[in-house]
Amino acid sequence: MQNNLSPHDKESILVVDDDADMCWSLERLLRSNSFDVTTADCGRAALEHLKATPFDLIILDARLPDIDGLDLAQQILQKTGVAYPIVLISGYLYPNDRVVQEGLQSGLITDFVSKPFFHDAFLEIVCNKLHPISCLEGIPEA
Amino acid sequence: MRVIELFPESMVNYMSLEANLRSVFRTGVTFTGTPLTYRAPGTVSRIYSYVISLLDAGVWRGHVLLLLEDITEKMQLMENTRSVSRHLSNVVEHAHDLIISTDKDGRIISWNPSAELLTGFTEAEIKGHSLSDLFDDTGKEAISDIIRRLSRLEVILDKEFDLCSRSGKIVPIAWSFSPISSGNGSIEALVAIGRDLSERRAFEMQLFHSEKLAALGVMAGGIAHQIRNPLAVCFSCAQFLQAELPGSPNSMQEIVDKMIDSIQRASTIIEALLRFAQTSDTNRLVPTDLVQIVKETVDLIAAQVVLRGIRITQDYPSSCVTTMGNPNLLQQVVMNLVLNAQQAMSDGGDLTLSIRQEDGKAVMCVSDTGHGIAADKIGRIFDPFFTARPSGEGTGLGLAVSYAIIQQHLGSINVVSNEEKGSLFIVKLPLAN
Repeated sequence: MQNNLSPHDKESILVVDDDADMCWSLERLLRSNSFDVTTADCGRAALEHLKATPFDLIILDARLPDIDGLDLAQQILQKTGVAYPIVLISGYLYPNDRVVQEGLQSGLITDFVSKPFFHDAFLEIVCNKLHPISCLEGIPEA
Repeated sequence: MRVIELFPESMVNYMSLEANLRSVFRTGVTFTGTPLTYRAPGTVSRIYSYVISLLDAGVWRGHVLLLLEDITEKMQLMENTRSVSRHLSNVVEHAHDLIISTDKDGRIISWNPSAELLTGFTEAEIKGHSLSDLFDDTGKEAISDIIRRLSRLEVILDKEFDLCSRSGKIVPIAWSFSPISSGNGSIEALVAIGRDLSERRAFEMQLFHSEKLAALGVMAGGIAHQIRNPLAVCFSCAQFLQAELPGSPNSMQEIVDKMIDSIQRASTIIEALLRFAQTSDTNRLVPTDLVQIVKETVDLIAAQVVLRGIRITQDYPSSCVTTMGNPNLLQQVVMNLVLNAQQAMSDGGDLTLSIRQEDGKAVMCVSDTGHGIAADKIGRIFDPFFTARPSGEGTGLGLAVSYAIIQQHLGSINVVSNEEKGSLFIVKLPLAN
């Protein structure tokens, strides 16, 4: 599946989810849209990856075996000093839930998507975080 | 000296004192008169007159004794006693508790109206029966034991056992038993006071029910998380398939479309179930779209409602109607109102839900074409434990809980009902600014 929403080749995305199949499907979706994808199955592994390489965007599951997604977002900010665009995904939270609203308001996370989701809508969010202007206007950058 | 010179003339005349004296002198037969109320200035006296023929060794020798007894105090005392007795019997008559007295062997002597109401047996029917006749075998044994203990003048408190009513209904009762001892230390009678625990049990059941719901909420949270991850993977895979399909036969396209639709439906059901089961962990009110809440709730129970021959009509504005609210609690209100309407239309009918904005308020109306609410009951419809349904078929808390929730949202809930046309519930909530 090729999606025109991704204007840049090989932008790097870190996917953090403990569900291997979920990681697989996100990796497949993002790779087929020309993103470079690294996966991590827990918070510790995610922080290790971030120590080694910076990413353009992080996709974070809200419930990980060793840490809460929002707490991990906090740690990423503290430990790397970078305010990464973070899309929180969850199978048990909803957009109206307080923790989600607070996470969005405080800027800890940039977006929230509840599982399951439509690929197109998800890619639009991912792309929007990476290239807000071009996505809004629908014009790919040169 | 004449009688009239000794006593006030009015007294002598009213009591016919002279005539009575003359009659006794003539016949020798003692006369006991009637009481007289004598009013002298400032005082009221009650006097009783006797004209007694005095016998000497059994023979009347023409001597007569005129006795005037002032019975004012005695009468006052009797009146006081009567009034205390009336008061006590009123207390027993009007007590909400069952008050039963028995002789020392447990045979019923008195039985108050609460006992009549609860058991269906009148005092006349039950008098003379043994108290133990009202209980099942376990209760009978307990009563025999209690009577033995009471005869040793023990007081027995808070014994719980069920009573069998005339209709065979089992009523849970908390009992206290006390002996009434005669002056010489032996036991004369027993008093049993019973409190109906049905309401308390219903409340406990409701509490148990809410605890169960809370547990279900926790469980649903876990299940949702567990199910939605594989569901998300399925959904992704279906979309990957869909992306590969162009050029494939239409039947393949149809199959994949159905997969996608069904996964979405499953996801909606999980979301609705989770939201319904979730107990509110916060009283924080957030901007909430009332239209979405009502639609979701109706989706959740529409199948069940339609199965009962009820047509559902929905009339909502195309845009959001946003109120400050707790989505879970508001959904509970809609659920209660819809279930209430459904129960009012046991033979089918029309259920109409509508939402509109009016005077800065969100107005939701839920109407049915059911049997309506009798005029004498409409005032109690939001009371806890009030239910028009046969006992056991409803907790009587649905509308009370709805009322409490709407109040918490600074809104109002009202009902208009007609026994021929059905009921209309109107919920008004402040709009979010």
